[in-house]
Amino acid sequence: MTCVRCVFLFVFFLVLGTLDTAAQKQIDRRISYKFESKPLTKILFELSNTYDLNFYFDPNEMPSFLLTGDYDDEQVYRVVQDLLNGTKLKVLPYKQKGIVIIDRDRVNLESIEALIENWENGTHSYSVKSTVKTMSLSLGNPLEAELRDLNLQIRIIDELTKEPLVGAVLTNEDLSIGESTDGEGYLGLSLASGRHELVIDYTGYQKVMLQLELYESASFDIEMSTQIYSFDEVVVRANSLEEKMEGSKAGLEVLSMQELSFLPQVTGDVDLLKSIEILPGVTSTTELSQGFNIRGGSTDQNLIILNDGIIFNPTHIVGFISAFNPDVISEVNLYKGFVDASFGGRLSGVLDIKTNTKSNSDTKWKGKGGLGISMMKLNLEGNPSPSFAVNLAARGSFNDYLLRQIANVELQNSNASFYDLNANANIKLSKKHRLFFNNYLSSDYFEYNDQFGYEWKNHHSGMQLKSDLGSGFYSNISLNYGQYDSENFTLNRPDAFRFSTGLNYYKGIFKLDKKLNKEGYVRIGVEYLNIENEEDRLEPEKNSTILGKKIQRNGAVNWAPFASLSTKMSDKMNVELGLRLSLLEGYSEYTFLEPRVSMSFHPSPQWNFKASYNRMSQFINQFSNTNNVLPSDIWVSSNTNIQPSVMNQYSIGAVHLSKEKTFEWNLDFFYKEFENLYEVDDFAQIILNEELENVLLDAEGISYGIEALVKKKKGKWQGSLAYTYSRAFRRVIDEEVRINNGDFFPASFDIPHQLNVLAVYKWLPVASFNFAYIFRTGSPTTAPTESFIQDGFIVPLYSDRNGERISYYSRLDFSINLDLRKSTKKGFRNSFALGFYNLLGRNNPTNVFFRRSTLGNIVPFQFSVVGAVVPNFSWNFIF
Amino acid sequence: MKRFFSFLCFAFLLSCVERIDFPVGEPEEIVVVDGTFSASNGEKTIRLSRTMQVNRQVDLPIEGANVFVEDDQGLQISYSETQPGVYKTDGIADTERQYRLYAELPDGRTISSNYQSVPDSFSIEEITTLDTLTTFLNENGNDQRLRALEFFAKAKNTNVENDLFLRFRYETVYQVLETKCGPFHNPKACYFYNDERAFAINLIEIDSDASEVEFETLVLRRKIDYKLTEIFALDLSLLSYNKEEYDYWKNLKNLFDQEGNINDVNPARLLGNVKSNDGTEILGQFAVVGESRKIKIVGNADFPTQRLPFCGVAGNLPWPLPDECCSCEGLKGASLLKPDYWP
Repeated sequence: MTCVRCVFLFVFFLVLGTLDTAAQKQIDRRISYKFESKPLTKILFELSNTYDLNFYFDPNEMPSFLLTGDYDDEQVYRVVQDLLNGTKLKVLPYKQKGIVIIDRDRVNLESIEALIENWENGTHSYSVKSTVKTMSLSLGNPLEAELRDLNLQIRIIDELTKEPLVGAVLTNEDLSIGESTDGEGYLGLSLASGRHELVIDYTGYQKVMLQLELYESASFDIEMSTQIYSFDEVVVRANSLEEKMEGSKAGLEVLSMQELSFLPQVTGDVDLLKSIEILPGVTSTTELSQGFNIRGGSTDQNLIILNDGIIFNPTHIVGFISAFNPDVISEVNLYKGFVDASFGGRLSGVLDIKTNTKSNSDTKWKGKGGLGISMMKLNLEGNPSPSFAVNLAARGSFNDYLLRQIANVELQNSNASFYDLNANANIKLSKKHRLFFNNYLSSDYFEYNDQFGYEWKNHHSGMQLKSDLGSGFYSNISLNYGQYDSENFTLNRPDAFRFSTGLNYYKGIFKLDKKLNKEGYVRIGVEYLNIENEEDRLEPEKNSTILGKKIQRNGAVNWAPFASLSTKMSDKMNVELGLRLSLLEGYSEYTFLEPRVSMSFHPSPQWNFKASYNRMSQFINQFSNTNNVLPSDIWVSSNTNIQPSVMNQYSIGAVHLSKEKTFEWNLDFFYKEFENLYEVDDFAQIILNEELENVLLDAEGISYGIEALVKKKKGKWQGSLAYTYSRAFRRVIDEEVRINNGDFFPASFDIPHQLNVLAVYKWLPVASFNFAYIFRTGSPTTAPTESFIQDGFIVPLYSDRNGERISYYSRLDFSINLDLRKSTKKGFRNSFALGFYNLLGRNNPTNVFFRRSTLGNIVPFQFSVVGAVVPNFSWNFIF
Repeated sequence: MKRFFSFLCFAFLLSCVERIDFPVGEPEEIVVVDGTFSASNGEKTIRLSRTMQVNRQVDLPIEGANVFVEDDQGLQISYSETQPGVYKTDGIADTERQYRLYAELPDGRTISSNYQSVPDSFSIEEITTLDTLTTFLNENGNDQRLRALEFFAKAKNTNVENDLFLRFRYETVYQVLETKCGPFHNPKACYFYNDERAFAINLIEIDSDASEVEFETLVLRRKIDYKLTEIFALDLSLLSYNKEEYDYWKNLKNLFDQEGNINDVNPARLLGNVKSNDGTEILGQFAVVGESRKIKIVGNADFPTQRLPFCGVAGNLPWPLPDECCSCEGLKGASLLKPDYWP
């Protein structure tokens, strides 16, 4: 055995020596090379071209962090070895062919030979990661060039699909220019006339080096090609990571629909609201929630915007599914901490959703669609002309048909149908002006066994005019109209009724941005919001004993001028300052100045520290005296007796990115104070109460917490683990009424502990196994603790408000995704998802209630929305 | 395929309601007041007790208290303890005065309510009955269709000057008459008071805009069994309350109406109108009420084809004859105290 080992080692080193001897010429070559913030693969590529060197390596093993160096007359071997410092890679000469870079653990003849073969047969190449596509463009006549700066508007699109690439970055050699594309793929910049070398970068796409000869202002498209995938249905914010590491906005989550597609969903389709619950600081108390809670705020304290339109009920089927079609969503920003001054009117957070309408020179129509367990969808987009693009999407359920097939009378007499429609248009008026039209309609009808039900509709229509005014000025004028109506009804009983409520609004926004020397921007603007309440009506059903009644609530008109400044204080520090002034028309005492401050300090590419302060006000609230927020809960604007609420939030955080960008760590702390809140009095009558202020108790609140998140972003296994410790308390300060003796008590959405785990195994580029686990503490409840006898009745004596807790929530979901749309082929392509929601089959409680038995005893029951494993399947296609 | 969809739809729509164990602690034994005072003739009762563990239904009376009703001119009407925790008086309220509860507890605390005026009463015109077939929930929680007797109260007031807040309250009594079991056996009757706890709270609000008001409402539904077919009495009172005391019953009804669906109003701690001198919590209610009363008696003659009385009738005795038909005190809840209105 010993002799065999000796022979092997001798042969190995002999070969190695042979490799070494024969390649000395290449590896010993001396080079002079200077570079800044370049990935290793690009450096090797440039060296190979400049010095006629052959490098052999596995592109998938190459680190992606950026390197900076300046070498003068150094051996190639020493240079590369220096660049590999801190990695597991080793540099070796290979015969006369070139230089091998390989993992230390695989330094053997077999692995080295395999590596060489992969390069020779084309399996490996520089094109997988970092080949640069060079383009040359000449604009204008140098003889007619002007001395002033010229304006460029560039749209970055996918070469195959023509879809805009959101967040693509354009820089120049010395990084004095840095711009990124907006939601429509556009970026604008000012350059002096002459020659420029610009680089356009976007994750997953081949980098473009643009050699530009610029002598007149212009606008043009640049097409980028993918390395492996063609993403038709999603737009990835490539800079979400860079935004986190260098951006100043603490608490901003930039969401990727592609990442969300890996989450197992109850319907098999991507669900935006269910997906954001996986983020730290975002909770939902039940599966029937009409929204979500951010950092200890109630659901009505979140501003949900779809293309500048306000959405008052973002769900279908009483909270089970979100009302946003994922196929039309291009950009999602969730503001948990710092909120830009252009947003306001709510206290806790902002969910800003934008849909896409692509315009391009290709006038072909294309589409996508899908079929799931209980719903179907279809999306068509195209260009009737090169300057006019439309995007139409429809989604609807066929639950009613399914229910009729069930051999159960109760289900046959029930309904649970919904649909949502999106119709968007994009019109290029000129090189500098673009007009967008957005229309959205969602409708729900839910009825149980001819007994009771709900019906509600969201509608929004809007128009945006985006203009390049020149000299770095950009304007955005947005006009919107929306409506929300809801009904709650009971049937087939003596007191059957129908209660309806609703509101409509007119909203206008004007924004003017000025780029600041390519390092930031200044923004000023104003927002106008007019909310008009419709009559609250109670109408008797046929033969009902109920007397009808109606009341008219006041609306509100809010003016909010705002200004913000985003700039770099230094190479390592960014700051964002904002100021918003909220004015309620007719109430001069309801004027609120809302400063917004956010700073970030990134001492290195791996670390970023952030701090922010927000002050926000809210002049419209949703009130409910039930355990769950219902579609028919009323929205009430502030008036003489109901003041606007105010919130101050302080937050600090840190982000760490591992050197290879494999792991991302986030830690955030927040503290919020709420003033002028209202708690509904015990046993209060909310509906049709003309003196509602008499049952609303003055209150205040605090919330605080820690959010921790770790993400693994590379490798076969990817995912995230998020833990949040968060508390939310309220206190009634009304002198006449004492709830809980005037002490702080847990808010209805106080969830102290929440753990979310997402694990994705990317088995193949087109196939993945996905696991999601959610655990959270049970929500507070009010439960009987004792009883007494009153005139023969056994009366339960309930605890202090929210003095008890229901059982915890624990859910495991699993799905398998097969996405055959991810190919460069054209034509009809499919994807499939098979999943299981609530794989543990746990009866997670929605609420606990107490009934009296015929003997007068008080019996506790638990209501769970989903009490079993729910399989789901979806088929999606594009053409 | 149908079963597959059934499974899915059940998961979505029928969801899951299950009985659970919800942990409760030991009771704090808070003092509870339960009583009324009115201008009508007859005994008025105030009960003093303590809170008990949920579902224990163990009465914890407070004995040895000094209980009074005081008017706004300082006149006190005292109550006498007739049973542990039960205090009674024959006093009658003066409709021109206001009254409050005042009591000295054995632990040294004093409790008192707010002063209340005497509300107008609302007369019960008559009580009618209807023999019908209806659905009852049996002990297993399943629906059962049975013959039942429904009692309807018709009430009328021709001079409504103020808003009226009304609640029906009733007591029931049925009789079991022994069978002559031997030559020296003198059959006697046993009386059973309030064998079933009241389940529904029956509330009515009347607007003062209507000068003359008349209504008829269902007040009680009993399945027809031996308890009705001998002699059964419904002692019905229609109480009118002041607004604040009426709201107490409205809130209590809200607590009782929890159905477990998403429309349920949040339950809350029910606070009464009695305070203690040291600020500790006192539960329950003392109410000054307007009262009218009507008694309806039904018996064997009303059910010629229905179930026989417990011990049968002459010529038609049950076989085997239950032991209690020779000694009715053996039946649970039996009392020898005969109501004064008994035929």
